[in-house]
Order: sequence, then C-alpha cells, then structure tokens
Amino acid sequence: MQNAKGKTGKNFIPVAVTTIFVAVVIVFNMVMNYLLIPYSFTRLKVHMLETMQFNNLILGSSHAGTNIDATHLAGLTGRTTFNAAQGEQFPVDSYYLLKDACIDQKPDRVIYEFDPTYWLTAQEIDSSYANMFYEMRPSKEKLQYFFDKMWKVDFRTWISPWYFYRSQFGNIAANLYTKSTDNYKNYGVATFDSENQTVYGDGFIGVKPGKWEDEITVREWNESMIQKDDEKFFIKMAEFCRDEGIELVVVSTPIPAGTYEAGKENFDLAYAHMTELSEKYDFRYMCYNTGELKQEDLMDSEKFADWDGHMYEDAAHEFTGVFAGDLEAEG
Amino acid sequence: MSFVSTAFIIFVILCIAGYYLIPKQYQWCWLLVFSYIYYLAAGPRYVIFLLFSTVITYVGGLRAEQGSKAAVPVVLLLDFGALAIIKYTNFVLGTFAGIAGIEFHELDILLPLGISFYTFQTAGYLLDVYWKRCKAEHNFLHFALFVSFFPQIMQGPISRYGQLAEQLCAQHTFDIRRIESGLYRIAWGFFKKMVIADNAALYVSAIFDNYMTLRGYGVLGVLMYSAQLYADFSGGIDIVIGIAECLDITLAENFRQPFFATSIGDFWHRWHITLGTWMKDYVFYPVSLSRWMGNFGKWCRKRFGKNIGRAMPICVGNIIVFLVVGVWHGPAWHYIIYGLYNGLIIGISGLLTKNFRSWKKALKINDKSAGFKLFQIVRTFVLVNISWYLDCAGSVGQAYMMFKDSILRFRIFGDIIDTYYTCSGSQEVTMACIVFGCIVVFIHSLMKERGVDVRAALLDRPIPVRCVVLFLLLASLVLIGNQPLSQGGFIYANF
Repeated sequence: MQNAKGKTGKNFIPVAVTTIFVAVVIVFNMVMNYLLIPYSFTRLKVHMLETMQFNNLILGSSHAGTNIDATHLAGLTGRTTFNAAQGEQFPVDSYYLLKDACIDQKPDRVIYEFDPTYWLTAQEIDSSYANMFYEMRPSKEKLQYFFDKMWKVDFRTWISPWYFYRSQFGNIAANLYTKSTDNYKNYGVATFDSENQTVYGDGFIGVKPGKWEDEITVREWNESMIQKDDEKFFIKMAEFCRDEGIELVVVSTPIPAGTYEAGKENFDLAYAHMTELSEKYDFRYMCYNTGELKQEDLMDSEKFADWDGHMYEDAAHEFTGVFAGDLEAEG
Repeated sequence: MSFVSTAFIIFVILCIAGYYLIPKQYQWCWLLVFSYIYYLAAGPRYVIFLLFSTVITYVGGLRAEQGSKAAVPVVLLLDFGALAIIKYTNFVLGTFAGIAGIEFHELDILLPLGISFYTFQTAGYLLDVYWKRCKAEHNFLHFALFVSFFPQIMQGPISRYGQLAEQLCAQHTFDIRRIESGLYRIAWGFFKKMVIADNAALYVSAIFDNYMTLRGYGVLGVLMYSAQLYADFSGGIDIVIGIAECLDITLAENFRQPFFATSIGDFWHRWHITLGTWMKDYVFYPVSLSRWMGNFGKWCRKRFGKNIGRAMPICVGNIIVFLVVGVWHGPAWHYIIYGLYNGLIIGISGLLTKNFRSWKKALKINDKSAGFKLFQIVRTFVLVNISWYLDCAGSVGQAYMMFKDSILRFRIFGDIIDTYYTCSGSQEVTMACIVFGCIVVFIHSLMKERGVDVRAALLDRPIPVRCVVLFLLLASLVLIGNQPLSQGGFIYANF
C-alpha cells in the first residue's frame, strides 16, 4: 500500500510540473499574442463573415477588396453582399473562408476575384500567413485548414504569430489602447481609417485619392509555374460551390491599361487558363481586361492608385455598377 | 518533413508517446513504421532507392557471412554506383561537354533524401560483416530499421551497425529524466539553428549570392558561414540525438567543440566525427595498409629516407580521404578542391612533423603553454575559414574572387542584409542575435571543453531552474530566432 502511494507520489510530481510548465508557456504565448498583434481588418472581416447574413460573398485578393463596393453591389443586385477579399488571401484561404461562412449559412453566390499573380507565387511566411487561420473560430473546417496550410510550415507561424511582430515592442501601449476601446470590442472600422483608405463594415476598402509608389511588374505566366496548391484549392472551391448549389462567379477586375499592355501576352494566357477552367468546372468567368467585357475607360490609369490595379473609391463605385449590370444580365 | 515544421513536431510527439505505450517487444516495429512514414512523406518515389539499398545490402551481408567474396564488391558497386549516377552524372557529363565545347543541358535526376548518409551506413555495415567485426543481420525488418531510422536519415550521424542495431531492437522503459534530457538537447539544437544559423544565413546569402556587388565582404561572409554551418549542422544533430535520446537510443556524437581544434587534423576529429571515423575505417586504413601503399612506402624510404618513407603513405592516404570527402560534399570542383585543400594541409603537416618539432626547439617555443595553444586555435580557425570560401561559393572562380577581394578590398561594415531582404528587419538586430547566440554557444563549448557535462549539471538543478532554462530556450526561438531562407533548410540535408 505504501509502495503504491509512493509510486503515485513519484509520478505525480513530473506530471504536475509538466502541466504547470505547459500552462505557463501557453499563457505567456497568449499574452504576447495579445500585446504584440495589432488589430487588423482580418479580424474584422473574419468576424463579419462568421456573424453576418449575406447572399453574395466576395473572396480574393486586395483587388477585389478595393474594387468591388459591396453595399453598392447589394443595392444594384438586391442581394446582401459581404466583401471578404483582402491582400495575401490565397485560394486556400478563400476556400476555407467560404467553408467557414457556410457553417451557419449558405450564400447564393460566391464572387471570386482571380489575380494571376497570386497563382504564380508561393505565399511568403510572414505576418499575414496565419492571419485568417488565427482569427477563425474553432471548427472542423478550421482543423482541415490547419492540415492544409499550417501542417508543413514552421511551427512558430501559427503557435506564436507574435513572432512576426517581435520587433514592435514599442507598439504595445498603442495595441493595448486600441484593444481597450469599444471600437475593437465591437469589431468597429474606425481604427482602419487612414489618409489612404476607409474600411467599411461590408468589407469594402475605399481607396482615397493619392498615388501609391509602385512600378509596373510583369509576371511571366507559364502553366508550369502555377502553384499546385493554388489551383487545387480553387478547384476545390468550385466543386464545393457546385455540390452546395452555390453559384460561383470568377472575376478579373480592371487593371490599368499600361499594366495590361506591358504584360499583355502573360495576362492573356492567364485569362485563357481561367476561361478553360470555367468551361471545365462550369462557372462564369468575367474578365474586364480582355474580351467582350473589356471597357477602355475602366482601365484608365487615372482611376487607379497604383499600377497593380487598386482603384480609387469613386472608380470602384463605377466599376461595381458595370459589374452588377453584367452579373445580373448574364445571370 | 522539415525538422522545424508543425508536422515533424507532432510526428515526433506521436512517435515517442506511442513508443512507450505499446508492448515493449513491438517498439522496434513502431520505429520502423514511423521511419518509413517519415520517408514516404518526402515522396513515395524516394522509398524505392531506400528499399533498393536495404535489400541489396541485406542480401550482400548474408552472402558475405557465408564466405562469398563477390558479394561485397558487387553490392558496394551497386550502392555507390546508384549514388554516383544520381549525384554525379550531371557533373561528369557537364565537365566532358565543357572540355569538348558542347552545349549541355542538365538532366533532371531525382536526388533521394539522405542517400549519401544511408549509403555510407549500409556500406559500413557490409564491410564490417565482411571483416567479421559484426555478424550479419538475419531479420530483414531489423536491418531495414537500422538503415531507415528516421531521426538520422537526413543528415546523420552516420551510425555503425554494432553500435546502433542492438539498441534499436531492444526493449525500452519510459524514464522521465531521459526524456527531459532529450528535450533540452532538442531545444538546444533549435536554439542553434534558429537563433544563429537562420540569422547568419541572411548575411551569408546576401554576401555570397551578390559577391559581384558586395565586393570585399568575404571575411564577414565566411565568418557568418562558420557560424551558420556549425549552428545549422550541429543544431540539426542535437535535434536528432535528442529525439533518439527520448527513444532511449544513444547515437554517436558528431561534434566535439570543433573551433577549439589546434590543427586541421584535430578539427576533423571534432567536426562531423562520424564521417571522419567512417573515412578512417573504410578508406584511410584500407588505402594506407594496402599492398601497393606498402610498396610505395618502401620506395619512398629508399629515395627519401626513413621518416619520409613512413609518413608518405599516411600523407597520400589523407589526401585520398579528403578527396573523397570533397566529392561526398557534392558534384562540383569547388568541393573537390575544398577536400584537397584539407587533405594537403593534413598530409603536408604530417610530413613536416619532425621539422615543426625542431623549429619549435630552435625558437624556444613552449608548445604546452596556453599562449601557443591559443595561437594554434586561431591559426586553425583561420585555415578552416579559408576553406569555407570553397565550401560556400558556387564555383572555384567565385571563391577565388571573393578571397582576393577580401584582401584587396577588405570591408566589414555596410548595408548588407537590409538591401536584399526586405522582411529581415534591422541589420543591427540580426547581428545582435547572432553575436548573442554565438556567445551562449561559446560559453557552453568552453564548459564542455573543460569537461563539464552541461546537461547533466542542469538535470541536477532544482525543478524551477530547469524549467526557467527550458522556457528561455523556447522563448528565444520566437524572440530572436529567424526562419530558414528556404523551407526545411538544413545545409547538410543537401549532401
């Protein structure tokens, strides 16, 4: 009896120490995440995606985020719309955002913005890599997302995302202040207002007048250079939409004429590739840089803040009007 | 499956947990399954090569034990032939094409992970059986585990059958103290890798990849490469040995404070020890003790006298060994010259041993003094760093140009990494992390050099002290560690 007691006591200490140690590490990590990670519109967008009811869901890169005015689109189409698109949103992210949204509801239509650049680039492991995963609520979908995106990368990327902000200890006070405000607690948008942009509650990012510094970058489009995962998750998204009875519309928003002309051959190949996919997987593809939908005035460089293709708010409003018309007309 | 990936961490936790939960007689099966899962995760195609090597060496071992004389050369030829074809075809064809002035497009040849390591391990086993140093393994699955044991397959250490096989198949009992000790070793390995190697890699990559623009920064580049290579390789080995320790398996040590070496020969006794001892046992002795080398020694004795005659076969043996080491590092001339550089220094030092003794006597140098030892350490460090130009550069021409620029256009301060890596953060912070990491590793090495078993000493401390040390190690990975420039990126996994 004494021996058994002794053995239990002997085993209890390492188990207790290990538990306490792991608990301390977890708490420390959570505190550092809270202190160092600033309020980003990923938090806002993922929250809205999970709580809002909408008919149209816009996914894709920052081009869709700045070029499609969700409220305006809703007004013109008569369908409530949420714009969940944002920079560094790769097809894997779009796919799991869609699945996350579909836990509680089923949108009628998904509008996925196709930016060829994303399909040619492996995502950099930086602060945005785990953003969407980090903000997503716990679910079976999140677990799948983990295996598809976090499984193969450096464990610090998702366990300790504060890792990417470790040189910003000076921002702790500002972060704490922001996180103590009602705006943060209520998922407000006021924090994101800057001289460059206004973020709206529908997820649309309105770009204010003023040129962003960038140059025309031509990316070679070559079928062999397409990132396998990007196409794989896009196809998964197309199949998911088909299985769930959700209409999928893929759109390439206008880019400045100068940018298109500089990389015409590559853009045309990319758009042709998406056209092929649209035929194979039976979805609508609407490209505003080539073919029937192309409108020269929408590609006027004066309407863009940069060569990459981010429109000013007014131009985005104008494009959304055209897009809404085409969307409903073709639909 | 990179060591720093989430997948690997979870894989190791599952492996260790299951290992102690299942009946002990099946522990080796568990390890075999996990080893093959690990290898399969890299790509099913790679397994074919691993299985091929395992099967032919297993059969070769049995045949050799039965007295077959043909089995060993045939299997060695197949093993090393496969390695040579995979690793050196492009190099050989490219060289011939270059000589003939023909345009050559490299062939797309699959390089299986860890092939250099497991080929050496299987060849060592076969020769040990042939020389009757150990008995042949009759259980194929036991042998398959010896070849594929997952922690070490990517970058060593190169284990000997006699030292590892019995442990792999033995029954092991859970011991919390050993697990804790293994965890320290793993955390220490990650510290070296992430804090020193991955930060230093930014400098190395910036300087070596842009050597035409960043001229004169060669000294900084090789110093950083020294830090990177040591921390990367020894850190990786620490992780490997730590995981094995958690499984109650003791692997051979691969490093013994190499930067405290007093000669190049001593350096190679402390650096990549298992490759060095492999070379000694399976290349150096067979070559040095061969009949033709004996005849060569006799010929030298006649022509140059007793001392040279005795030293010359050893000198030639060393040069051959390091030529093989150079070739092993990769299919490129700069690696071959890197090997020859080391071989020549060791060989010539051997020939001049008597002269060194008389010079020291004439100059009244006390070779037991601390000052002389320090001089030897610094001299060796400089010689080793010169060799890194060849090891790290992409070609002999690049190494030569960088070395020349290091002398003629010497520079050390300047905007280096921030120009090339926009996400690296401040250059000063990166440098501070490297220096901090190096100081910690230096203190640790100094203690070990003085015979202190740092981990054993730590395990004797009270629990709170041990927890704080482990916590600080883990926190430093996030706070001051960097990411590998390429996913997975352990340097020696490429060899």
